[in-house]
Amino acid sequence: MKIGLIGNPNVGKSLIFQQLTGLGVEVSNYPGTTVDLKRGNLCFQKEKLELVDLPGIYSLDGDSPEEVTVRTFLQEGEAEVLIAVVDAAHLERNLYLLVQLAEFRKPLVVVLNMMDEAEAEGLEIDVDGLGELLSARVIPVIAIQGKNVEKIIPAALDRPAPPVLQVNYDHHVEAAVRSLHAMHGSTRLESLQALQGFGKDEQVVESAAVLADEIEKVHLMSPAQLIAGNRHHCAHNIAAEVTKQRESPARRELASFLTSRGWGPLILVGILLCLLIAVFLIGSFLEGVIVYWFDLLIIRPFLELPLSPLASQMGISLLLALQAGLGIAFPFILIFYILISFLEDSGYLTRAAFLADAAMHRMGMHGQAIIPLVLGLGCSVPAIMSLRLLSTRRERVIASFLVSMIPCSARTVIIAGIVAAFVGLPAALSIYLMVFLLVVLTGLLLSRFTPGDQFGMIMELAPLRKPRLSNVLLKSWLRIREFLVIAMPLLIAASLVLGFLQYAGVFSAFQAMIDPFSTAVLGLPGYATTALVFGILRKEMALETLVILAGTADLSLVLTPVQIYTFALVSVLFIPCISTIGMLYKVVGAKITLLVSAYTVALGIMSGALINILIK
Amino acid sequence: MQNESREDLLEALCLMEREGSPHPAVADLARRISRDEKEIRGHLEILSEKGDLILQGDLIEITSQGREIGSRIMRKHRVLECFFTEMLGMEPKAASSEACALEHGISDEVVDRIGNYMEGPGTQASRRQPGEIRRVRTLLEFPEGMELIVSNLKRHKGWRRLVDLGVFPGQRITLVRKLNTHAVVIKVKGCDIALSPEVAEFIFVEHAG
Repeated sequence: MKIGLIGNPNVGKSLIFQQLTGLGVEVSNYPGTTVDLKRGNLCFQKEKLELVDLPGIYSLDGDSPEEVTVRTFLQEGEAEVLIAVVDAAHLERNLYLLVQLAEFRKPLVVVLNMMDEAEAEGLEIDVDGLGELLSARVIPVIAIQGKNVEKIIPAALDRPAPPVLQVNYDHHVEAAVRSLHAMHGSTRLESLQALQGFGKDEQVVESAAVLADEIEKVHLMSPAQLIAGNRHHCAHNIAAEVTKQRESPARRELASFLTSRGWGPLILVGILLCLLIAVFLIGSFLEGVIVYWFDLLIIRPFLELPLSPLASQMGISLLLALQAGLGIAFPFILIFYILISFLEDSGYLTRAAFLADAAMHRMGMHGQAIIPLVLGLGCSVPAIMSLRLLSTRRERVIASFLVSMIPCSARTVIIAGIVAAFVGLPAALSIYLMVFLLVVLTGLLLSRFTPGDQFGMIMELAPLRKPRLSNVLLKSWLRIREFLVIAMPLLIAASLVLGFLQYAGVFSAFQAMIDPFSTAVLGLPGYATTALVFGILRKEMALETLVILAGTADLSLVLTPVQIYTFALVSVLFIPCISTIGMLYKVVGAKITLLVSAYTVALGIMSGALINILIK
Repeated sequence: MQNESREDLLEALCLMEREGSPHPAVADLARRISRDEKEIRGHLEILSEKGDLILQGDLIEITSQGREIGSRIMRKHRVLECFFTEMLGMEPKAASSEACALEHGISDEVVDRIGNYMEGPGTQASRRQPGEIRRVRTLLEFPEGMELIVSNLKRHKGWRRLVDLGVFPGQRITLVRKLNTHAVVIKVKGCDIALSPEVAEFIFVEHAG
């Protein structure tokens, strides 16, 4: 049996899903994190059930990808029973979706979640009364405490009836529904959809368009607007009948402070800086420890094994990839995601997006785009994955360029590892500054030339909540898992290829070939450029490759400070690593991936050449 | 003297009274309706005999009987003008002169029916005063902390989402936050919604209460 879980964003749907299935799924705090349907299995009284977590939506008649996905899911008749999760603290707004859902005439159980928040707001909800009005079973739940969650599945299996709730629409709309039924035999639901301009049967949609025009002439309002208005009215009446406001709710001083004109931006910058510093300090500490022990316990013993040169080369490539993955994925990315998930669950991230809206605007995007950009400081792969939450292709294209340029933790390692170490801290910071400047310039440029309309931000601010450590850790783990599943295999494969190329002598051949160009344009010896080019295969290893090719770990012996600086700047800007390219291809397609790669290569070489000319 | 002239004169006197001159001079009245002072004086004397007004030398004082006739014509004029501009889409100037011609022949009942018709859903035409072009104001023109009522939404790409979130004509909202950049946060049905300036620009609102 298949059960669908449906509701607005931020109503604790994913948390309930996770508690029911035991399978980890993200708790989304900004609209659209769960774009894909998440499926989980559970067993109840020896019956096997499949639970589908549908993306959080506001309406079943909209045209956003999430809304279309859910609508299709409902109309294909995939689920036999639906569980609607409703936020008790925002009952009226949530009932709007429920009123629409009732029109699909599916067996329904209503989960009234966040009863604790409603209580804190001084709201008293007549649960039985709500059940009667909706003609559905209503279960009051506090998912975060696990209260009453166990009652959900038995209720869903108890053969719930489809709700009989019916909205009274404007009489012109009702008349149109009747005539569509008479003309084409379409159901009430199909007619209502057709009047709003969509539906499967083109004939119905065509006839409905004529009727819709008439209605619009009479009311000076489109049927979609009338229908939505009637539904809101219905939701309002139900909510008013079952809700009692005991006392006036406490004012939310903190929420207001976080977005205030004066303090808001300062707090945002402060939080982002603290985030980066914490990631950097804790991350580099952990990295040191992991790399040391990995070296001592695995790499050294391996090097002493009597193996053929090829096997030894391949083996060490594999181990180096693992070491790099663990040394970087774990320390930097994990810490980063724990902190980001914490911010997300607390509801701050949507406020950050609101505050950043104007700045993002200049770069042709909206506030939400700050989320991928910040994620990009950790690792570009999940950052590009999160581009899906941007609403237009235009924004996704612009952000894909910028995210690819943002220095991820692997690139931070290069900056910290050679520039800070051999040239000095101010030089290292200047690289950051230059990269961010180029990011902004690229954004300004792209906002002018990228085709497509700009679509304003309409984003619900998630309520401020105290994050639960278990949720934060779980979410961080899920993100790390994405990294491990997608980036790690590519990383290992690339490392093996690299090892083989090195064994086959391709490196030295390439080195000889590139040397004239390298010296002339970038002022770098051939082996440094070789390290750069093969850095595409494993970016976080560009430094190690350089060390191997240079034949010494003390780079100051073989390279001048300017050369080190150039190497770092070019490798930071240069084409994103192979895992990023793979992810870009999945999210924005081949053409944009190619453009991003070409642009970053050109930018890297040009900045390197410029420094070479200016400083030498 | 024709009935039409009587109504025009009383209408003008009523309007002048509303504008703050309860005892206008004959010369002022003549200037207002662009007629000759002598011709008017003759008419005014006839009206004074009918009891519509009292002539005190150069000054005119309208009586309650005259006021009743005048204001009825005024209302007819207003309703007709409104009907022509709002429902038929005519230019305000043309609408006004058409209304001037028709206001004398039209019955009270028809005017009432037109008035009722315009008060139907989706039109707020009847609330307006004649000649006044109601300026629609967007969300961005109000300061932070205002309680507002959505009066209209312009169609644009984000329109559907706004309606689904509860931003539709007649809904009460609070402008919770307005940054210098004109990004705003509104509270609708207890939820905070952040909007870009170009979205806020499409939401027309009025003062609540």
